[in-house]
Amino acid sequence: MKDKKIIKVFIIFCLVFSTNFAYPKISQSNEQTIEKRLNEISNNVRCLVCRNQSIYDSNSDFANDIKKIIRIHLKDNKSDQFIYKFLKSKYGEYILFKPPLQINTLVLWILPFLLIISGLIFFTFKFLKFKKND
Amino acid sequence: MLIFAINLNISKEDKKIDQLKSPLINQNIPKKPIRLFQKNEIIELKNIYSNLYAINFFASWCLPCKIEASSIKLLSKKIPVFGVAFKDREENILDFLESYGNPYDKIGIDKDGLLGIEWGVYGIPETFIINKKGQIIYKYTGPLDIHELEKNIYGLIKNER
Repeated sequence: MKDKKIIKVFIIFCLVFSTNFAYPKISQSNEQTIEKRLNEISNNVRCLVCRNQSIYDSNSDFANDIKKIIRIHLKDNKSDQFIYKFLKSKYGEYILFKPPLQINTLVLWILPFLLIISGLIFFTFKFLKFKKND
Repeated sequence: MLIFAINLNISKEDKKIDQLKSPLINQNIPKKPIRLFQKNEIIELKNIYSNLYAINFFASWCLPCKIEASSIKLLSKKIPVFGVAFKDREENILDFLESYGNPYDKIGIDKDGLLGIEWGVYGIPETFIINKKGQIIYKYTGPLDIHELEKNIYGLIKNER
């Protein structure tokens, strides 16, 4: 009878302390994931009050407020896409450093490649002409 | 020439940052409720205003807000202006209103700046004009002056009435 009581107390003790030890670990790892995602997103969000700086690099009031709202959304399990869309709906495309690939931003994505290809074609022709004359 | 071109580009960029085109123009006002200053009351703007009105985000610690105070007073003679005290302390708001006058129909508070984000605010003072349908039809970032009132705002108010 006494043994049973001891076992019961031991089981209760283990259950209580196991959750106490486990909880901070889970919570801490979740917090770390949120901070990691916050940093990744912040690097791609422009600080509108400091020229050409991301909110990750900036310590302005604006940057801190935006980080605060991103953290709230991350804690609500919102996706990165949701957060970018939310910021875009409030501040426009300009707030993002990397514009998303869509019809109105297609030129921005294609233009660098077009310039490189046309540059290569131009210099190849020049080189061939130069070689022919030589 | 190169330095001149770079300077020109920088000043253009500054202007672009000052008056970014807001995606909220022609959209309904954000739904986030607002806590009224010195009152234990949370309101929704659409339940208070059914006609043209303005919203002005201000703070006692913001110098341009002091500069624009006389223009906000002029605007308040044409349409009601709802003030939002942005990240400010109660005693400082009272001091500000005492020193520069209170042109506001009602005042709400945005303690943590999250209401400002809903409105796309990035540099106070910022002023919005809302039409009868509850849509944002105008936004101005920076201190309002008589020039802006006469050039754009008065005309807009006249057209919307």
